[in-house]
Amino acid sequence: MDLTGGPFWFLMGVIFVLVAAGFHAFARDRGWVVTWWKALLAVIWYGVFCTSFFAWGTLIGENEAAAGLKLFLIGIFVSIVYGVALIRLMAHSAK
Amino acid sequence: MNQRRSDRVFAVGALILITVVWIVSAARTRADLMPIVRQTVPEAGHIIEDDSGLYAARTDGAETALIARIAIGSADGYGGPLRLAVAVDQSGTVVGVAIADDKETSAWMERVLGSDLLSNLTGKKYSDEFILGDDVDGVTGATYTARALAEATSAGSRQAAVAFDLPIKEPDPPRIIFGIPEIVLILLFTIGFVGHQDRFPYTKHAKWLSMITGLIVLGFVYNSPVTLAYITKLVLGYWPSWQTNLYWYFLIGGILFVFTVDNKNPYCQWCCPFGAAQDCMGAIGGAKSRTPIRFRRLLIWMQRLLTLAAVLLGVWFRNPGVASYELFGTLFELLGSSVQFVALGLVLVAALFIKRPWCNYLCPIRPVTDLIRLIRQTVKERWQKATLKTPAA
Repeated sequence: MDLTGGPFWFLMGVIFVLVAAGFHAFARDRGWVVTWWKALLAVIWYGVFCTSFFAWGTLIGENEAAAGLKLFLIGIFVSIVYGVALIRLMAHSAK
Repeated sequence: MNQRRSDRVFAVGALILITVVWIVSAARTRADLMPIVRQTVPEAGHIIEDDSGLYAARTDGAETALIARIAIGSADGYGGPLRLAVAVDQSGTVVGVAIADDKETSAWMERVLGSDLLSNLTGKKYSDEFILGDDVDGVTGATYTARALAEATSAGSRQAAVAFDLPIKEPDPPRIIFGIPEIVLILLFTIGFVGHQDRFPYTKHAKWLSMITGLIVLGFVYNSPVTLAYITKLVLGYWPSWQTNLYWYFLIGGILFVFTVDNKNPYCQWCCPFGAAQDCMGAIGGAKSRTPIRFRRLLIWMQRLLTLAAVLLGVWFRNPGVASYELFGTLFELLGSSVQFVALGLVLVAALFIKRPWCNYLCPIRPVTDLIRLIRQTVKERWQKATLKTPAA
């Protein structure tokens, strides 16, 4: 069975739904008002975070592990800064 | 011992220690230049130094012929004087160059050595202008070092040409370099000076304007923040020519001037690009000052000792670049080792939560400004005491 084909993307979809449901519960517990644009910003954050890992893995496969690690670290740095800003933005509108 | 007294004792002790290390390091013997000189004319059979300090490279054999004369040209680099062995043949053409001594930051020097600059200097005539960006190609991100190499080649080739009795034109007076960085710096100091005044109503806005301008222009465009190398250069007596280093004089002079007149720091909180980068992170993360009061003095002393150690290293090796441990180049030029990049990431992430972690715990400039403030205060107190004691005429 080719794990990089359909099953992989099926798994990614499942994880995404679980993450979205988890985020929804997390936001509700904290009384965050998640408007559509805030939800969009959160989806973009998730994309940046995941892409950091995907880019690393892809570049390892291309025998460019050092470049992959650098890209991963930059991606994680951006994710941390973006994540902190996002949490403050969400918390700013808490009920 | 109270705080002020311990500050004064430390300041005096540090100044004495720096003076002792300065004298000891200055007394060390100078390096033998012959191996460097040989690199400029590898085909020479033998090289002899004459009384005038020039070297003559000759072929071996029964009839020795003069291949070239080699002179040591000198110019101001980023970290101090840069000396270059320059070999010139009888037609006045540069046939080889080799760096004899430099005080440059290793990252900048590596960038220059990785470029074609040194090979491009070979083949030029002693009578050429040697102006960066004109008849010599510059090196992006290492302008001071590249300019110093070009000027040292010019100086060395002219010395050798004199020995060959070649006609020498009087050199043009150095061109005064006054451009955007200098103008921006003066504007930023002016904003800082005005913004400090109690009656000025827009201090916060002025501060952010100054910070963002400093971050973009002094940081990302020109990468010219104050570094410990500037201070160590001052201590070592490496005063560069004012015509080509106006920025350096404005920066050091401006800070000292505003401190003396106003007792305020016009740089750190107003236009330091690295401070601005941390403030931007702090604005995103809502950073606060989180230093526990009981550790406050300890952290200040650690910062001071770290700075003193760095200055002593720079003075001992007579190389200001050795002493710099700042991460400015890593952020603004993306140059540095893996350790520096990791440290930069940690500092910037910490700046999301802690107000200016680098400035408060690590930056070597803060102890220096503390020292300036202490000297100012002491002189002022002594002056006031002396004038009060003097009976009125």
